[in-house]
Amino acid sequence: MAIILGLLTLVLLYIVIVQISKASDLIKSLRSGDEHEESFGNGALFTSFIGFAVLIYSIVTCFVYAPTMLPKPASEQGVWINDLMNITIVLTGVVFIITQVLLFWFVYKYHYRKGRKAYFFADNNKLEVAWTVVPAIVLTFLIGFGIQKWFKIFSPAPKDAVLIEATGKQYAWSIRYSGADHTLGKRDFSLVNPDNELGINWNDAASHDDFMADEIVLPVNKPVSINVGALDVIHNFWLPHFRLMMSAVPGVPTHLWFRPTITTEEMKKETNNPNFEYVVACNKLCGSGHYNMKKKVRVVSQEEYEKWFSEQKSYYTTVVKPAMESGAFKMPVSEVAENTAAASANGFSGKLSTGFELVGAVNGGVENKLVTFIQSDKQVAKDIWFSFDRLLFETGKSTLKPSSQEQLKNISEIMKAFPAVEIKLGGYTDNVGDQKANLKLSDSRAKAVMAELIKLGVAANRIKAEGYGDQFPVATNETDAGRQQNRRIDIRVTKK
Amino acid sequence: MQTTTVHETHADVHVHGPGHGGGHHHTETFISKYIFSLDHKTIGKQFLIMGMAWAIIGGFMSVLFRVQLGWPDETFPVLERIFSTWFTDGKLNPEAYYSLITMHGTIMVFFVLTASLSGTFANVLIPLQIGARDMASPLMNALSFWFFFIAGVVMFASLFLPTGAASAGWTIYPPLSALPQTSPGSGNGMTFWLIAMVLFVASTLLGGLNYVSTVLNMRTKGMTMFRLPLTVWALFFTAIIGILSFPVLVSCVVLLIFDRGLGTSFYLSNIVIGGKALPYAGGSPILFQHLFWFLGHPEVYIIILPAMGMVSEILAVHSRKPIFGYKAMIFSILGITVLGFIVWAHHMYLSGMNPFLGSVFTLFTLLIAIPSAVKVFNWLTTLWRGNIRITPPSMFAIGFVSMFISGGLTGIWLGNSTIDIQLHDTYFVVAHFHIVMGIAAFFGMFAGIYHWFPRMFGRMMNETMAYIHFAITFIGAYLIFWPMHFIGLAGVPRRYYSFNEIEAFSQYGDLNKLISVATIIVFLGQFLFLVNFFWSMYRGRKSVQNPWQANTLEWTSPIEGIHGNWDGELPTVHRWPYDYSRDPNSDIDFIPQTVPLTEEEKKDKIHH
Repeated sequence: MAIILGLLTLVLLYIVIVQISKASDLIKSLRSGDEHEESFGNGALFTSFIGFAVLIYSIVTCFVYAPTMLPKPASEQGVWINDLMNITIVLTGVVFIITQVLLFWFVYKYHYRKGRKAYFFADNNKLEVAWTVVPAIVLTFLIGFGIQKWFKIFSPAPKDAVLIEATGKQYAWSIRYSGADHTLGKRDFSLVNPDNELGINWNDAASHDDFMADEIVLPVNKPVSINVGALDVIHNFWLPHFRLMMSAVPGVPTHLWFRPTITTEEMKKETNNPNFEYVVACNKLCGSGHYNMKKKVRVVSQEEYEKWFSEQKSYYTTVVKPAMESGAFKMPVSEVAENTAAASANGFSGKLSTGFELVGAVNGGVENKLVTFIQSDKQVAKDIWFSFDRLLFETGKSTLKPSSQEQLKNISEIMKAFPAVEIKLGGYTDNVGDQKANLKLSDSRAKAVMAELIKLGVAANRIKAEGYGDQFPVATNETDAGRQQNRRIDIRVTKK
Repeated sequence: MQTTTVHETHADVHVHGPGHGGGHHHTETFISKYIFSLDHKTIGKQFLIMGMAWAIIGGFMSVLFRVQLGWPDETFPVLERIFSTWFTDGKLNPEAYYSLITMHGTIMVFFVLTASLSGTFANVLIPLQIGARDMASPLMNALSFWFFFIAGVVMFASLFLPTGAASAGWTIYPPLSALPQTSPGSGNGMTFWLIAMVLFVASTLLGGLNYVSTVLNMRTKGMTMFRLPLTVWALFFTAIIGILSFPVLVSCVVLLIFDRGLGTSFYLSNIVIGGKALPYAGGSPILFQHLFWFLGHPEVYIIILPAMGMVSEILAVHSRKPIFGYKAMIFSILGITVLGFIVWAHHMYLSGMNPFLGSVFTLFTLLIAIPSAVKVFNWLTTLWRGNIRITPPSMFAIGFVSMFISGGLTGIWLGNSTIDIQLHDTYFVVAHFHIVMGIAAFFGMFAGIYHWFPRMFGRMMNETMAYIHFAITFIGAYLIFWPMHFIGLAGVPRRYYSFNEIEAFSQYGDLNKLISVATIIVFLGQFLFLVNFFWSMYRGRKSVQNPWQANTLEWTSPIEGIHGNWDGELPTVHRWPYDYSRDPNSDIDFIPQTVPLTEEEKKDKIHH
């Protein structure tokens, strides 16, 4: 109803404007030629007024919004960029104000008046040379200053820099730190397989002390050297508070180094925001999850950094080596073909018997685990649960975010491809907050997922849903990452 | 002279009946006159109407995604009922969002501001302003429109594909655009996009070759190159840029088609998806960017030069003064054209290319500010001590200058590679290019339409509606795009479906609402222009022969727009087009190009 009313108002408004306009046309055609000419100056005040109003708006908003922009640069390199930007703001700002004022002032001052003659002024070499040369000098200065800083920023990193590798894939950053030896283990594309996405050569001893980090932790005032790369599509490693970015391009290694100068704690005070965190965001369109591809960055004192560093566990010793010893991990082989063949035999191709191709399903994702389980000869059991990995809820609510649709669609298609299968959905939370509320939230979330699957065409009698609150954690509730893993929806096959 | 003979034979064909309606063909049917017409004026109008349709579609897409950005937490069941495939639970899907921004960019950049802007005004103005009966090849001209039309059909069809339209951004960077498994829009939607663009380039080349040969060969007697109006100069250089750069886009697109369909690796290397290594080796995604921007950058000049040309002409006519520094204006267009070809990699400072290249491209990029500055100062001087008639065309031309200044100055920020490290691909870039080539080019286009409407349709557009249209569009454009500078300076990347996932970017909820409201108002305001356009076409005040008292040749051709443009002989040109207020003692402040020079003027050394 409101919409219809709105549309009606709009149409009426249009009719009024058109009618008034028509009347003005009629008046014009009744006027003599001379009187018509008189009106040539009438719009001058109007145009000029709009021009100046907009000019004032542009200037005032600069001051109004200044506090919402980035706080002061948190790196040495950022300060250089900021300096150049400030010079450019002043220069272009002055030109902006002068030219806009002249433009709209001329419009008013020299508007049509009967009997006045315009001044025939076709050329003036001196003037033209002046406004070619003056901008040229100013620009030369800006170019010189810019290029000098540009080369400084892209100079080789100092030898003592902390060495990190950031690899982007849809839609996450994986961060690899070189361990105590300050050398990252070599990578080889031909070694890539589902257990070793980066293709790290475990035969290279330098890889043995490297560790993967959930967040980027940096010591203040020490240079940091980052090797940037990507697995699938182009991403961009954007550190807004440090004013630095670099594209992450598959097949083309890129690099960036900088010296952070302000710790997270100091920045919290600086910005008066106790929740302040540095962040890496993706700044190159990389698909539908582009807007949510982030990683926390923490700048800490040297001591804190050393403490954190010493607590990190080498990926090789904690994961790779035990797996190799138990035979679960394939030793590196060097043929790409072998690997891809192994990978597809290992997992599942993504195409269902109904012809539906699962969208965005990755090896190790819930879709693959589910299909592999259904197709295997394993018995249905109470303790075989698989966790959804791409479901997202609005914080504190049981409303699914639209990005969850892809996985839900996949699950519903799997249910259609295997009509005998029945499932149960379990909802879980971490142990933060009120237990009852958690139980309720987990229940309503599980039911929301069930409702969504039913909506996608799965028969209601094939699905059950129950919330378990903070029971059955799959990871520790002591860390952020662990709690995040515990907040989940699981799926169990109850009949197949 | 060979060209003169061509004119005369052509004239003979058409002038068989000056007594009956000015050389009309009697056998013309509705279809041959309005649909498959070979007449440059009709083809120009076809480009214009088509462009208007595309502008509404492209503009409406921006309304849809602004709704998502302005109210990320609200649901819109009404929109879901209409666009059921794009909305889930009353909210725009991220996939649909990315398809919409991709198509919005593609439509606005290519279909509206390239094809329609050049197509309309090159067709309508080149023959009329140089004194020719038609284009060098009317058939190629018609083909140019029909290729554009088919390209549009293919592009439009892609919106209805089950996997959605292309969604990799209008710059379609691979590997995202090459690998359908990375994005649903990179499936058939991308195939349609690529096919449409190849057809589109064919259209552009057919048109461009025609414009260049017409300007070079078909000028009437006395019309030397330095007597051409600046509109023709601008359209001429625009066509040259298009001819030199669009073929590179085709090669760029064809290699992408190979990578997608034939398993080649021009742009792909070392790709891992879901733990699986794909068998591509040896290509480089950066090669694509070089090829794309080799067109993509000149493309922005293809968009802005015609607008600059029209604005120069309109400001001179309406301020009753010669354009200041006519030759400087031509040489600055030339300078922009040449420099425009060697600055493409400023879009790629942080793409991973060698930083040394960044410094070279910074140099050329900032140099391009010099011819641009010359143009701005020359426009300001043209207004200075003029007798400015405030009319819809002059208002929009003034608006153009304001936009060009605002958007051009931020180019000095972005063109400097060091500052670009902070601003690359943020909202600052969105603000910059929308103001300098989007809004400014639209203002040039509106100025041109309001100015030459009487020439195209024999009637005047309504001024009151035009004034309101101007106020809404000018104020609205600043309200929409000016604050985006601040969002960009806060570090928010462009092409974000939601600002709320990253805390550092989440402070702009209110501002985003404001921008979205302004977008909706500006979009609705454009219907005022459309109403005015179609209403005036049939009911507007009848135009007199030369309503703006302008000097150029198009105002000497019969008002009803006959086939062949002039009855009898073609007009002869005796002077440059900018003799406004030349004689301070005369009551008449303009001297058309067809008026012979007086003895006194011949002695005068400046400009004839």
